[in-house]
Amino acid sequence: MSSATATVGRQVTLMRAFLRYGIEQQTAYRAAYWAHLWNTAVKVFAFVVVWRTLYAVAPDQFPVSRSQMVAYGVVAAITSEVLDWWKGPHYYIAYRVQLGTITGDLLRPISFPFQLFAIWTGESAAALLLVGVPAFGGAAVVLGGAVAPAGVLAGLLAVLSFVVSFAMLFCCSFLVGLVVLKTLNLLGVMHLYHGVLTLLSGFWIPLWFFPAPLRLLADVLPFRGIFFTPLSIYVGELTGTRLELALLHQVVWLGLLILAVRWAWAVMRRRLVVQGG
Amino acid sequence: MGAGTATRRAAGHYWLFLKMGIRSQTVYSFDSALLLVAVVFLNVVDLSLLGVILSRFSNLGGWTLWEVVLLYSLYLAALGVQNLFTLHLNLIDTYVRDGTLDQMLVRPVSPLVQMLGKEFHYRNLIHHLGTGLVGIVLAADRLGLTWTPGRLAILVLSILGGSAVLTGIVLGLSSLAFWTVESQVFGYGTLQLQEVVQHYPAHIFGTWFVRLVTFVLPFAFLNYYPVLALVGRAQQAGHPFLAYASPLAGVLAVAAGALVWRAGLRRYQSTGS
Amino acid sequence: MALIEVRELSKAFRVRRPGSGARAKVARMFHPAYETRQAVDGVSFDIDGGEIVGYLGANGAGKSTTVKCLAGILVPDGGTVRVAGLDPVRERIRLARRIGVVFGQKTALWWDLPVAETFTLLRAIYEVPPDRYRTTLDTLTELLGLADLLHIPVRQLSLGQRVRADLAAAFLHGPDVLFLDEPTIGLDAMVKSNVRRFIKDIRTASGVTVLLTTHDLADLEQLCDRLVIIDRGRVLFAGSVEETLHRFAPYVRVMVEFAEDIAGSVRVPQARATATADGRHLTLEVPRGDGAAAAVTSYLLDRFPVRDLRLTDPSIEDVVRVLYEGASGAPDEPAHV
Repeated sequence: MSSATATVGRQVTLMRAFLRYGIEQQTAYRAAYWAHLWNTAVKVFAFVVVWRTLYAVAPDQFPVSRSQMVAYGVVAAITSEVLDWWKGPHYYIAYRVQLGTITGDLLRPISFPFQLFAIWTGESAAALLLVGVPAFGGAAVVLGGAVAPAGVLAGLLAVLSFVVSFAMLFCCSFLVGLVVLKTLNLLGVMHLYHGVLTLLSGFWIPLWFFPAPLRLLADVLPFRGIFFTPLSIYVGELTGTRLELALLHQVVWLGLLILAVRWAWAVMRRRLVVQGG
Repeated sequence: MGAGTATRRAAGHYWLFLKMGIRSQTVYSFDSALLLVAVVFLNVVDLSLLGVILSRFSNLGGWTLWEVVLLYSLYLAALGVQNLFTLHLNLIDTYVRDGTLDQMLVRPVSPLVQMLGKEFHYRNLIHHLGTGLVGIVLAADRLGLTWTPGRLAILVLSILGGSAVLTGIVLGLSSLAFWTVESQVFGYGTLQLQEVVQHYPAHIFGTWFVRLVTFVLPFAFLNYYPVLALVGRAQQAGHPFLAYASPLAGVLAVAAGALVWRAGLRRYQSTGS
Repeated sequence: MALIEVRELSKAFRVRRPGSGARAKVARMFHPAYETRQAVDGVSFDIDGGEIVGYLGANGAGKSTTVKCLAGILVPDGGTVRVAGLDPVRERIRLARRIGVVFGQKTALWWDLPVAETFTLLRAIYEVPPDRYRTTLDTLTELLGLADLLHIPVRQLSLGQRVRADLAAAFLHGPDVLFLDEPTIGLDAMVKSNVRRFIKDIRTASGVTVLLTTHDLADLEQLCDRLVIIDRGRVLFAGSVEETLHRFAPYVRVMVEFAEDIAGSVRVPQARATATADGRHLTLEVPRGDGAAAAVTSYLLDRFPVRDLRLTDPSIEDVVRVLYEGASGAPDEPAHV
């Protein structure tokens, strides 16, 4: 019993150390931080203007109100900048391989996926605090109540759903990282990954505008759980049974992804150890 | 030495260095093949999603689906040409840090000429330029635009002008490396703005926005104005002249970028930081 | 008239001071802090045509900054510099034709191309007449043993091969002055002596003036006529190599490891013990020159069970320390252990 507590205590200490590392990473370059904030603001602005413009053309095409659509755009722009998947675990893996320090990571007495998860959590938390909060605050000042969630419950459920989506995105990026590790081709694999997320996660164009076959594909695959599900909950488009099913979809996929990560890592680790000697 | 001789000398030197850059390119590998597929895929995804939206809404700020495809593709084509010749300008900060610039300064050739001609990135030939040209041809076909000599001339000059605009902007922003060690960030800081100009007709964001991307960071000359010229709606530009002004904008942008470079280089030589 | 004239040269840098700790880091994003570092602080010296002068100093002493000011890369904050009668800043391009520069840490050759391609480009931009180019290239190929390297891409060369190719590249246009910034850094002993011999030979053949920075005393001893030592941006000492080594680095070090504990005292004529970590290890200082080192070595090998023995020069840091202390005792007492 006490050894279990000790293990948990150790994990918490490690998590904190990696969190600190994440914050250091986020704040290492002053100008990079301001550029990130600026890019987020431009993205928010663009999303809001585009949805408002389209709303003026044909309001009947939207399953939500004008202000809900604005909220979707604002939160989508900000979360997709905070959970920046250009620089996730996959990038880190490729970087460490290039530096040749990956063996050092593997030798540490903590599981490698857990290390990456801790680092990425740290970086994302710092980004949420330093970029997400100011950007959302700015949007709220300019746009007023339009950026608010559909209700208290919708807001809370959306946060819960985003937590699941965070874990899902980590698993996807980690698996992509293993592909990078195997093919040693960071740029190509990352562009493909980016394309898939852009198409199927709903952070740019919500899935409800998709033609039926594409919609079906997006609904089945896990990627909608990363942005579309939490965003739809946030603006109140998903309620009742559909909301429960969407959450179930997220949780089931997260479970599958975790299994995939464990399996793929076990296989890859064996191979790395054999190769690395 | 007259200005003409100086220019000819500079052009000769540029060609000498560019030749080295062209020869430096290593053979095509699986790496670059996959990257090619991935970049094309990413562009197709973007275009498909724009298609999804515009097939539902018929127009965006008065522009139809294929006009937006033309907008997107023109940007890609100009980006492609710029990438081909001056992609490495993003790395000026690295060249300052790792001593490459010092090597340039001890040769009897203008460092700017050496910097511009440092590399040639022919891999990008297909990534952006190829995809862009396919998009342009497709969109022109759907829009019923015939390739008269005049329209073809506008297209070619606009792509070249647009790539010069981009070169000038990148040169200017990267030259900020001389003031701050973290200059790649300035290019990075315009990425969202570029995305916006590439994807949507600029006027939906308001007159101030059009002015911003015309006079301050003139990305609109890569695609927005040329599209207006190509579809014969030049009068919709703030001034009809702007629709044809990409080559001029290119010259001005490169000149402005070169001024920042010169000021930066002077600062580097006098502060060494 | 001196070919290189440096008067009261000074140069400062502004460097950013990073914060430590998360809070300070966030604060630095709003208010960056800077500090000024005086890299070169009133340096003066002259170099005559045909001299080889060593410019010494520890890392960060201001060596590279001086060279960059002389080559026209950096503009001095104060003082005057003339190289081959030219002002390096105002007449940078004219000067560039008359100097050759090698940065030991950073190649001037095109990384992915065969060495010969870079040479061809340099021929074109320095406008070297074809026949002169051919004879120069032949000489350099011979002296530096480049024949087998010319058609190999630079990225496949070893460091030693690369430095040799870089030296040739710097000399192709027949410069009057060569600036060599740490040309021997990281090279193995054989390549080092190869490089030194080349520099001496090319000086004899062409009368080129050479300023080389180094922190290797052997470079000085085997190559230079004179030296200038700088520390923290100031000239600490300037003089002939022989005199300097005699005064400030009169020893070479002999480090011995014995196969067993040596009880009692080990007495070595002509040598002084400076450090004994335990009964097995001994470090001796032996006077430079006159075969003292050889005598001490054979003395040790004859009388003691020696497992390992190494000879080293004192480091430039040692010399600087001695210069500051202004003292150097003579090794008149036999060593005791």
